[in-house]
Amino acid sequence: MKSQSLTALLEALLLAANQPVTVKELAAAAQLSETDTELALKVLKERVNKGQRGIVLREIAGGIQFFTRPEYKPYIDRLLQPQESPRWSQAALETLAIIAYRQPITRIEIEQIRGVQVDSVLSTLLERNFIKEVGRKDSPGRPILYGTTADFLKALGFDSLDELPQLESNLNRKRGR
Amino acid sequence: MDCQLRLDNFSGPFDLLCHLIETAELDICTISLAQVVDQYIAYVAQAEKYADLDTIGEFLVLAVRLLLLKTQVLLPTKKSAQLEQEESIIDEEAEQLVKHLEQYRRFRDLGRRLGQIMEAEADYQAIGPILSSEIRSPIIVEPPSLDLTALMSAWAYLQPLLARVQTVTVRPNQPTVEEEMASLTSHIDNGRPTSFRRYLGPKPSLYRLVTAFLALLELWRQSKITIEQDGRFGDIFIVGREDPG
Repeated sequence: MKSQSLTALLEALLLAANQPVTVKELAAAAQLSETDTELALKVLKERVNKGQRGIVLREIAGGIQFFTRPEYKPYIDRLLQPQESPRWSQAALETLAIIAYRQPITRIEIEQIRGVQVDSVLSTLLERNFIKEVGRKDSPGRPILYGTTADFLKALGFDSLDELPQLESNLNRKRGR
Repeated sequence: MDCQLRLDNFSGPFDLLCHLIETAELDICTISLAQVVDQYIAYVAQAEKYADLDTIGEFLVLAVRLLLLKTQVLLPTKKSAQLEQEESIIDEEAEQLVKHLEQYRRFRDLGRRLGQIMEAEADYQAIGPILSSEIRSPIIVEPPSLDLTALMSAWAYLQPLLARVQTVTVRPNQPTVEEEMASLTSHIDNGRPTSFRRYLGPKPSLYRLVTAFLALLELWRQSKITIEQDGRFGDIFIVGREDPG
């Protein structure tokens, strides 16, 4: 297959999927080697992202996905008139942050940091599939350990957890002891 | 202080404390904590009327820690060995609280940052046949280690237990007239009058009263007993008869 139609093939695959697709999945579907797929992807990405297009190709949650350009979002909303998604409460965001940076972590450990019970917030986050059970802690009662999911990465537009904003260290306040 | 503030506006006691410190433009340290203790207490006290016990309880736990801390800041230092020891414990508690609050604030700020990132990310609309946000697949939580053999052995364990289950119908304990007759007959002392009231016991149900009374009449009809009554609504005395047959 010519490289021209290769990129077109990948474009078709990515447009048909409505979720991040990994290089491996693309290679298997296109019956190509992963190296060839990656090369073709690079060409496609450059062509799409640098051209005057309404779409962008982004690496997200370990895969690749097409999105509309963010600057056109208000126009898209006017067209589709989507339901406004509810904003996350501060309690949910705090809990999410604690889990994201301290995972795997138990419910009790989260409650210690926040100073409040987190049962209902946890079930909301579980329901939204932002967090999941990742195992059991090897301590009395074998409490459930929580971690973040691929949906969490997608909601943030991150490719991996490495993109989480850095913990601002308050080291200048460190007390000697 | 601003009494318009409500507990629900805060995600927890530490959030309220951070708010008070930041409003006063203070750094997080022992002294600034002591400065906002009164505000914190006053705030929780007036919110007590509106919040449920669980919520207020979480705020009260921190109130106690803050009061302890304030005591330590206000008390003049004395040189008794015992006091010094006590003080160092309180010192430690204060330091822990400061650290805890700093840690909390870090996560609060990170949470807000994540919220901002998510909001910006919402401007990217995924392209595909269906908007992913419109369809939510059911969440299936699979137990971490489940295979066919585990399922089979669980079934093998359950099967004999299931076979043992029997259906039993439980009815309320309401004796029939016949049962009441047998019971009444066995209750009667031959020769000596038996009180019907005592037989019924205290506060018999209407059903029992009627059944027992019918049983009484039936026994009398069959000439198995003689009955006497002192007057209207008086107690009935029963005397057994020798079997006529």
